Amino acid sequence: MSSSSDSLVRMINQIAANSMGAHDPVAAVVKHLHSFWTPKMCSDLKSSNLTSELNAVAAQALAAL
Amino acid sequence: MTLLHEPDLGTPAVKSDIEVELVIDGMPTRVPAGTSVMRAAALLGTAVPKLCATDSLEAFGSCRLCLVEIDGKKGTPASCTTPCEPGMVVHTQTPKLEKMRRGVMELYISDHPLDCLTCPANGDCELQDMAGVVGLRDVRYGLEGANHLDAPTDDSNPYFSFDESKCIACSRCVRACDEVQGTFALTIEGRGFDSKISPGGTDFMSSDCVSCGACVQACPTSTLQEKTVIQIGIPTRTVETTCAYCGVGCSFKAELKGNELVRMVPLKSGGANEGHSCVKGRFAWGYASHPDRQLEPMVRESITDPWRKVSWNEAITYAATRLKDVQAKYGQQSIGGISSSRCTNEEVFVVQKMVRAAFGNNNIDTCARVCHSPTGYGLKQTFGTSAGTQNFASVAKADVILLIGANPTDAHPVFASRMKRRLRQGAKLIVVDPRRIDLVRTAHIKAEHHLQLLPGTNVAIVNALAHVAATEGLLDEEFIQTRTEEKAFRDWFEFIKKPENSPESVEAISGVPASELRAAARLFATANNSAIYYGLGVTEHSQGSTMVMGMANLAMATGNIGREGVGVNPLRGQNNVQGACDMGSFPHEFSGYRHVSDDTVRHQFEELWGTALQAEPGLRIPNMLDSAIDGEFKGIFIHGEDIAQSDPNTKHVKAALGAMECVIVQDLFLNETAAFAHVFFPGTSFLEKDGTFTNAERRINRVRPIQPPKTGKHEWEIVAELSQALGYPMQYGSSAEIMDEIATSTPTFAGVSFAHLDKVGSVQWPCNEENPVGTPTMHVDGFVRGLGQFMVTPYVATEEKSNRKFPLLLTTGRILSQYNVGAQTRRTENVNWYPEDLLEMHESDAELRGIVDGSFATLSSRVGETVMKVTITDRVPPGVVYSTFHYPTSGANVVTTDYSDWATNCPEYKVTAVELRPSIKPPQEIGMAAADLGLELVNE
Repeated sequence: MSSSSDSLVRMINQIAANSMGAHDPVAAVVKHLHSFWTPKMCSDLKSSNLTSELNAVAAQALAAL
Repeated sequence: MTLLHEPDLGTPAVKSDIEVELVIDGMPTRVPAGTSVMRAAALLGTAVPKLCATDSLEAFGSCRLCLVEIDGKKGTPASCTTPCEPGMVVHTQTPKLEKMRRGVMELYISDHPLDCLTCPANGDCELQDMAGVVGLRDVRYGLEGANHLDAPTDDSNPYFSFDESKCIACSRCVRACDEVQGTFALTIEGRGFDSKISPGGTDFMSSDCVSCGACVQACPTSTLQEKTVIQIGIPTRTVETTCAYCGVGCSFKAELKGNELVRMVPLKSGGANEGHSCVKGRFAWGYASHPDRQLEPMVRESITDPWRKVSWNEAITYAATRLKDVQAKYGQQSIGGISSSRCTNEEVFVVQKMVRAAFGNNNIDTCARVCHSPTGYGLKQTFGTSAGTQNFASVAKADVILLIGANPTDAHPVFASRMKRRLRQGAKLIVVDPRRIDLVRTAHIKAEHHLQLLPGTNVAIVNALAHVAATEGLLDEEFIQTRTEEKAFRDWFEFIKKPENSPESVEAISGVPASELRAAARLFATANNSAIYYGLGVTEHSQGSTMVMGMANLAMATGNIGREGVGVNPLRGQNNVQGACDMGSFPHEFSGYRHVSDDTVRHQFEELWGTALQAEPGLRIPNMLDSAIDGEFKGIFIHGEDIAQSDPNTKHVKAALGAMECVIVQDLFLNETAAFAHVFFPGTSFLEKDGTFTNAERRINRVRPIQPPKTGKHEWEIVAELSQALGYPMQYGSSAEIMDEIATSTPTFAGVSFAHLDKVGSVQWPCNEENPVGTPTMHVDGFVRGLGQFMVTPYVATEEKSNRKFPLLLTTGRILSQYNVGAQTRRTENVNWYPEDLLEMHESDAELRGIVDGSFATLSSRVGETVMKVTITDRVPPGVVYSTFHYPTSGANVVTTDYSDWATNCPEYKVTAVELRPSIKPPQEIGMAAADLGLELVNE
């Protein structure tokens, strides 16, 4: 597991946990990733073998990217 | 400029809509009702003789020198304590007054050393001036009577001397300490002839004195005198500039002889500080000429090699070659840069421009990442702009002050003095802090409520405060209806009413009694003007951004936005945090907080800079470090930051730096990070910089050089040359030209130029055609985003939790005399107040572990351990420990973790689960500081 991937999992789970108050939590996470993550961070996470560690909202958001 | 003497009108200005007409020495005049006769005369150009009066202090009426005669009134009243009345006819100079004043002066001089020619204040002494003004020619009483001429001198303070023999007991120092600083450290001891100034019956160093310098400034003689003036003499010229310490951004007069700095004196007309200062800005500038300072560029092939001093040309070529090699080998995204909040706007702007245009990516971040990035995020979401809402002076109109996670008496002392003044006038204070900061109980101030919460539960607390307002009918319905988005409010209202946000529920999470929460909420919500001030105790949490939005919700819900005395006000840590953020230092936005994906804005910059720019966000600092460990990020330009000491999880940071192939550090000193550098560019101190800083109230202030750069080049020149060597031409003739480019490209800075600032002093952005002299209060008629947006802010507990192995929670902060990682203050006499980092611990926790006061203890967390000296105190509750982080040897950040704010990755410095055990080894023996190692290498 790379240092980045490990961090990315933690980050997206945390973003998702803190977006639960939004009207559409998945959309809020997607918007956040588009605004603040590099494309490579998103693709690295997608291609990592850690996606099973994502919470439901984070997983849906990543899939929607 | 020659030495600037700011006019002293004797008594403070009075604000009144009513004017009174009077005649002074035959000249008719009109002044606001309540103005003293002394001030009215001074405004006409007539300086009534005075000793105990000065316009930074309330009139005192003790020296009896400012007597005047008023037609129809008996006696000779003191002009400083006599308010002007309609129709008054005043005479300031008559034979009777002349005789009386001369008599008064005779009495003063009969107990004053006649050593004027050798006195340090010769030429800058009001007593000497007044002797001349009143025409004193002899002293009939002689000098042989009872006197204080043999009184001792107190030299205990490293920066100023107290020569009691020269004291005229005018009380200006006592009043300055009370009224301006608010510390009440000085008093008049004894009565009558035995009256003398005393710092509480001890010497200055052992007293409550905080060495702000207000007493020295107020002293009309040489009794309280800067030691540099005693050593060097009276300065002969002034350069107006801005302090380079905290985010208050005080204006100073740098007073010099030639290019030698004699003293820094706070500027009365400075918008941020209005003539006040703290021990750092006033006195702790010696680091700029400290022998540790590096003045020549250096390079080395490997970080195990000794440094090699080289020419600027060689250093820049070497740095560019290494960066290009890294990009050729690892790709365009493999390098990046970090800009500094200690550098000027102009320097920051060119650094981020170099990264975007010359590096060809958006991998630019700034040290605000680790302090106030959640402020930018939270206020942008709710209000539409990433900045505080008020000016500092606004606090004078606050009726209730909600102070959250900030310790202004230590970290923002000059603003704290303003706040204390308002509190002494009767404003109520609510402190939200796990630690009992000084403001909870200090001289003439007692907080109404101290909500001593568990670290990490801020959001629960702010939600509970808003819950009370929402459920007890305390919302400002009109403000909500007219100024905020309806749907967002409805969503928030439904959320905040939920039982989980009630004080009773939150008590279980935070440890704060529900009754206390309810009382505090009612106090805040029902006052005319309630203002929120906050610091890093808000932002440096896993929910830092949520908390900022929670505070914005509370302010909007209670209608406390858009006028003086209210607002949401971040107390920024470093001098130019606001500016560094404004200048486009974040990887996702250009200057003025405009996202890189905004085609219109990006095309504007592409046209201006003549190159294509990337539309995707770049890496943040923690992403850069992670990526370095993964072997993908290989080169970095670090401008004036010491991430190896200041960023969390030191082991991780050092591993990342060690994995890079090109680390360029620009700094005054070989700091901890420089131990991992291949190129070192020596930086300039604020005394050599030419540019601007933007303080926490959005005030853009000029930073003017007192001397040319000691390194031979301005920092913006070095960046421009590096950029050029990388293949992207960047040419400026001066830093003023850089500001012109900022103004051209950044709407909030559209009206800013050096010429404009030189003319008006300072401006608070937005400064544009609409607001040519700036905007002290924001969101007056509408929010920057139009309607304010409530945000739903559920409390999510941090993942960093205490357990049996790490049962205590560590929180960190700074102390008055030291500043951040101490690179500057550790190289000044300020070490006399705080020679090492201390860890505060409650007695019960210490006893349980066999740790005694003053002993060393090993502090361990899930990521590392270090050794610190422990001080036992009831400032922290059981279960919570607190430390400063000013010394590399103590390594407080060795134990802080990678947990960070969910939205911005601002590290969670304020919550680390730790354990302590007794240690016999002091920290110095654990390992040599990297900076020391770097110095050794240079000397090899």
